[in-house]
Amino acid sequence: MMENANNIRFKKNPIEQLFGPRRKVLIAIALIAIGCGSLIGLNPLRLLNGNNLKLVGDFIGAAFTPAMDYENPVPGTEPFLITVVESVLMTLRFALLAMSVSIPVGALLAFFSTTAWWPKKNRRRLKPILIGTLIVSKSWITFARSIHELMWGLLFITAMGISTTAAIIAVSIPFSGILAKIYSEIIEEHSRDVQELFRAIGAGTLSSFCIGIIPQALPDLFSYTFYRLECALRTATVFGFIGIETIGYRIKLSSDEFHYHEVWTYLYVLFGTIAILEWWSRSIRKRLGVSTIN
Amino acid sequence: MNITHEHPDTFSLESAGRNYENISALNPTTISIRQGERVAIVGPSGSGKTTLLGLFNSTVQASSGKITVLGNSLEKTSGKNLKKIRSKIATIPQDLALVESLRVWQNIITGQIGERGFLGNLIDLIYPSKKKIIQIHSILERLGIEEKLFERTSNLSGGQKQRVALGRALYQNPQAILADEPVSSVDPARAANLVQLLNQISEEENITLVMSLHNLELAKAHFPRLIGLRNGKVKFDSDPGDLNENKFKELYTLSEREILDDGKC
Repeated sequence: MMENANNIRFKKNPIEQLFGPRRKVLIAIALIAIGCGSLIGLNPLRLLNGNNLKLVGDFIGAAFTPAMDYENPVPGTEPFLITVVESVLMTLRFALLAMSVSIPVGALLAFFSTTAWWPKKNRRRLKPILIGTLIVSKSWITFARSIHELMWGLLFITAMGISTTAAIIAVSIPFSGILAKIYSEIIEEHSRDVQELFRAIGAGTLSSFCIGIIPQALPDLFSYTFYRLECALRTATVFGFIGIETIGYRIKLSSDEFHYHEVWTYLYVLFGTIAILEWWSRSIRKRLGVSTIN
Repeated sequence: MNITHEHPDTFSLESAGRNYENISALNPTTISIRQGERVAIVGPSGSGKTTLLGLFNSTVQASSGKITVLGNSLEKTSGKNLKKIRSKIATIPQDLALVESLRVWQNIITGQIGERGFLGNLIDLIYPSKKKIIQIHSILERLGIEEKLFERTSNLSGGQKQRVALGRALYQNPQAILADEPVSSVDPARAANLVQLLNQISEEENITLVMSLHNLELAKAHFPRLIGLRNGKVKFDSDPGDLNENKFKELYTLSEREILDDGKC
């Protein structure tokens, strides 16, 4: 046995092994990242500057003692915790409004961009119309989601001024596109056995699709919709940085004043809201009879 | 279109066959199945059993010949009339085709999906009438799983799911049940139990039962008529008592060429 082991010869010497093909790819990726960073002026050494180090230290230190009141109270303003709650509610309202527009539009686009419901009979006669709607909806989905919501936001805010309506339209366009893409993929992935059976016992096109496929896909559809709601919450926060009065707006104000304890209070509340959403999503999925993996 | 219980034949095939390009799935076949008759279709995999069942409910289009279902020629039937015929023929597929995320009563209520429009079906699924729930309960009582009425289907055992599929077929109030190897995935005892139950219901309610089966013993024990298929051809069509063992051997013994073909797969 030992003799056999001693007879094993390495094809390459250890140095060659160190720079094997996989490592070469990793090293190349690291070099490209460093190159790109230097091209855009990224310099991690700046963090080591005394003043910046102090700011980083202050920011991290504030995480352990989030504010319960304004760091610099101004007489006559609302209590800090009320402001926190109001800003979270504003953020939630923004996210829910954006989703309440995105979900029906996304579902409608998903319906027209999947072939799962196409009737079997009269297919030849209807084919030009079906393919036409498929191409139009798929093209719109690709267009809508290829532009980031912030870009749409800048466009609409420039055109309509800083308003919640402009921001909601801006978020709804890419979100409905993304929802439509994922909804249609979820629908396509599910087994069509039940739909086929329903057709075999006389069900119409819409009944066999909606009752044969949608209930099977419902837990996945719910799961993804909740994930998108989380994304909408984060987007609402980011929109605060361009002037929409969500929690992001408050974070920006506190951050500009170097009130890091207040920033952390807002961040913790945001984290708590997303955690509650996750728990809610899990309980709904559980009620739908699907075990949650993540 | 006329669907009544008076038709002597539920299904009638006159030289009806099905080709897929140059391959014949079912050679031109002439078969008649009377109302209330119980027939088992036996034969090896790929012999044309599923194609034959598909011709009966028009999910497979015949390439040749004439098919009459419940007194209606399928050649002249399409659209709403075809849906009406299909709504009288229940199907139990091999994989049962149940929606696992729905409750038992919801799966059973879909048995009448062909009878109602989209909105009616949706209302039934979300807010069924008390009368319908009572009706479903009595079906489940007959199948011995009434306590599972509000249970989620995914929580049931394989045997219970088979009964739910049978319950859905019965709720359809059918004139015929087509079952495509419905017992292939359960143990022999449960398989025998379900086949017996299906036969009993068919006999009591005068429902035509056509079942494709791999298990010859089950077919011989429970069905008064056997149709043997091999390579798309009917090898026999008679009472199991009239068939000798050689007939069955002939049906299932693979030729050298078939073994070689399987090996290539």
